[in-house]
Amino acid sequence: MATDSKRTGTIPRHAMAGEGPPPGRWSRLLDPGDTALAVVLLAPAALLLSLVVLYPIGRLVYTSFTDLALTSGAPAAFVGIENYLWMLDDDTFWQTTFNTILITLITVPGALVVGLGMALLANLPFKRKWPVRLSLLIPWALPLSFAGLIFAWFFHSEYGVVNDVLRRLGFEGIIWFNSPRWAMAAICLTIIWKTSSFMALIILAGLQTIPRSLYEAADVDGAGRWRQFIEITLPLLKPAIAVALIFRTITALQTFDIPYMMTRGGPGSSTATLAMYIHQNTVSFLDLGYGSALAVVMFAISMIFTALYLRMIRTRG
Amino acid sequence: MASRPLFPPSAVDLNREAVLATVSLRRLGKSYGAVEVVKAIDCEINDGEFVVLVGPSGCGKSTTLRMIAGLEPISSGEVRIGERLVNALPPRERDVAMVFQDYALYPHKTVYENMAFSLRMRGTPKDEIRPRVAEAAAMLGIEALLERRPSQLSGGQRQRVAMGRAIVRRPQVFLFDEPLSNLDAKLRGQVRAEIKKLHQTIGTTTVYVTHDQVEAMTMADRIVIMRDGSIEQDGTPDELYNQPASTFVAGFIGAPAMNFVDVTIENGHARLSSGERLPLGPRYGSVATKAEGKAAILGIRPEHFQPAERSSQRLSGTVQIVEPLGSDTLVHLEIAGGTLTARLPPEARPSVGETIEVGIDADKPHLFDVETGRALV
Amino acid sequence: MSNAASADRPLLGFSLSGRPLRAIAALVLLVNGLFPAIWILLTSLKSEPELTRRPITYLPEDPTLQNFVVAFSDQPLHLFLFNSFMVATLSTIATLFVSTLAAYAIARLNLRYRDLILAAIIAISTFPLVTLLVPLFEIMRALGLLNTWAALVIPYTVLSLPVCTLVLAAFFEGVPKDLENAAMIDGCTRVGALFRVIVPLSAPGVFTAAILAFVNAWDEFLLALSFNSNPALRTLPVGIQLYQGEFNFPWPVISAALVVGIVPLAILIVLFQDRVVSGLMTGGVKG
Repeated sequence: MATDSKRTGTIPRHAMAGEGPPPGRWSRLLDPGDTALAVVLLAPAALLLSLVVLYPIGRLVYTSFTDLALTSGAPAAFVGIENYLWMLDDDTFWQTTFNTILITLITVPGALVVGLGMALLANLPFKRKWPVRLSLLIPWALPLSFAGLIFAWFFHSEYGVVNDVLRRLGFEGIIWFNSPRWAMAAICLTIIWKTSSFMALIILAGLQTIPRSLYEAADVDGAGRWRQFIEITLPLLKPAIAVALIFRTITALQTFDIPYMMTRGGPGSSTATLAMYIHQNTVSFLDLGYGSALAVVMFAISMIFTALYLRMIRTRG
Repeated sequence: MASRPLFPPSAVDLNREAVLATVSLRRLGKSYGAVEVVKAIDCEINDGEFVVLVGPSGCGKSTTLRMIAGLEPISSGEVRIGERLVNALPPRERDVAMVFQDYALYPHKTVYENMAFSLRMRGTPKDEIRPRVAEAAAMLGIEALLERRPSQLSGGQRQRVAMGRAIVRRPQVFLFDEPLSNLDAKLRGQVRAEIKKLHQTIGTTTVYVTHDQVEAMTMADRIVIMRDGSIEQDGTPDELYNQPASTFVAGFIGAPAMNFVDVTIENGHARLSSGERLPLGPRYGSVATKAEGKAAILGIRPEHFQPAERSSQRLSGTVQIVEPLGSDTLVHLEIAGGTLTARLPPEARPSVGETIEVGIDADKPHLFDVETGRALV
Repeated sequence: MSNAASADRPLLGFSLSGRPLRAIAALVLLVNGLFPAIWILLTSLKSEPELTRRPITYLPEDPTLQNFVVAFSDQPLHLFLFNSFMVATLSTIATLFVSTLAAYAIARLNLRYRDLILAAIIAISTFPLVTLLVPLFEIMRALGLLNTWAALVIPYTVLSLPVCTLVLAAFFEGVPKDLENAAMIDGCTRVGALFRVIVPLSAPGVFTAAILAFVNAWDEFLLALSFNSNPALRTLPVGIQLYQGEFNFPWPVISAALVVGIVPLAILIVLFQDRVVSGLMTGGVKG
């Protein structure tokens, strides 16, 4: 029906015979086996990772056992674990470690609670989805350093919008950045604001994979809204929340930009984080040996959580 | 990347025109670890032949096809296309074209670009590509679709484009991998006829994989039935239908499927468990005497049954289901503890529960070995 | 996804539902998400005298663009923008190329150590950059790359490599295997099929990965702060600090500079929000 034998008769039978390029020795190079191809394809990534991650870590560990300092110009001497011993007596190290942990303990659950709330709100049946989505994406995309600056302005003691609201409500304005406690509070609030939208996006995605039929079944079974939230929503969200939490924890331990922008670690070093202390030792004091030892400690802590993260992802499938 | 072949083929290669596009599979095997999916099969496909590889899913037919195409590494044995050993050649150098089950049309290219792609890859001159695509499109009646994208086509149209993409290449061998399974029944019959006609027109050697015995019977010059990685039988559709080598082949080819009944051979008769006896005609020759007293499987095709009045050999059974098809009536009968299907003339309308007699053409039924399932004739 | 979703679930046990609840929810989310950016925009339009007045004004009484003029004249803001743009663009291109190859290997080849490679990729995505400060500094110095774009482009490429690889691998896996087979029968090599068929078909994924890489690079602060002492090579996040004097903090000008830095991002996000969201879901990125 679709074929027209008069026309198709124009193809001579033997013109059908092969027309591919003749196999040549060189073309074999284009057809490596799976393993060889994998090696070739992964090579650029492996090369970059060795240059930027693997070699630096080796280098870092080595440097942490030396007294390398750019101030002296003297060649680095091997000092064994002296840098690490020094750490034990270094109040600033303990202070910044404490601050880092504090920030993690406050902002990770904080971002989770706020993010969960935002996700539940964002999951309502809006006619237009994009404004809500945008309001979750902008905080995510905003550079941490920008967020730090913007919130420093929010918390400005004289002209900041936060104090203005407080005064309008009849409270005293707070001089946020003069008190260790208030400064830390401002930093934590900023971090929670910045990170909760990411949490919300992850949780929102989790919410949208829960089949409606489960809620309909629960309706039939006589469960109220609150019970449905407890019995269906939360358990089904658990995997997504767990992964988001641990990921957030890892990044919280690396907190740098926001406190750096808001307080430079002050007053004193009451809001300085471990990352800031590493930065200070290396970039400002040029004490690379000690900075490296601090970094090794941070690396170790981070690895523990990363291992946890990997395990969680694996069990989640 | 790799935009031009390293050795652009000359437009006319005189040496190659004389090559017969045969396909030889010699001791061809495929295993994944300890699992053997294809077990050292041998098969010669002649120039211009239309061979259908058929079998249930998991029998190794698709793997065999993919080894011919070069999409699956060969574990053992060899594949030759036109006497050229192609084991080590990548797909693009084997000079085959393939029509995939889900067509595998490039969604980001138009129909024209889909069909022209392989010619471009081979460095065919531009002014030669257009007429060739046009010619192939004309052959398939898809000239009007050339500027569309695959997403704008119906299932049948996509199928045709996939074939167009294959024939535009003028390859030595066409490979089809269940190309009709995504079409509805009506379209399937239609496209089946088209493929057959196409093959009659251009005569390219074709290997066609399907699980559908109707496709195999209707299209093939030769059918290769596979089972568990081995070739069960290899022959023309008539041979397979009339001389099935085993109960497997007998049950696979023909619809409705052949009925199998346990019998005992006695005095040149097959005795059913109900005690009824069917004489074994001259065709069975010495089998009847050699197997005297032994158990066997009697294979009766539904079409071997007749109305009782036309045959002296009769069986009686209880009617369980009556399926009028218009052209025939299928009657499911309980005979000797089993259910047998008989194809009777359309006017036959026994009522359910009734015990009726049906005749049998005594020279037609097949005898199989109880243990091996191999044919005894 | 959204069809099966619990889309119109009323919130928890509140009796409040339907339009009023939705309006309130939208308002809360919008204010939370957009207020800081809007506030910075308003601040940038105010004059210094108006800013240092109490009670503070919310809408600028006498809007002025003077702060933007100062922002560009006080510091080479155009250079900061240019540097940020170039560093982000170059590292995005590099990341895309490297992660396309890696993603193909992960998605399509039978890798014996696939799980290990995946684990390594995820581990790297959580890596604390600050720990690499010292050794990277030394490497860049040894390679003579300090105070060049490369000192940032190379680490940023690695920074986005994990997420881009995961996103691309997910998309590549979605391309039917037979399309690749068809391309190989049609005359492509495997790598040829990757770039001629799989990558074009994964265009949304490539695009998503590109946006994530670009945003990552645009946002990075620590390395940019530490590696480039040459003012002419500073990126926006670093450059914006320079407006602060020892004792004065010219908030309107800083706000203007911030607005300039946010606008490109905002455009990107507004235009491609779908892609970004889907990318975040596949990749799991920075928080």
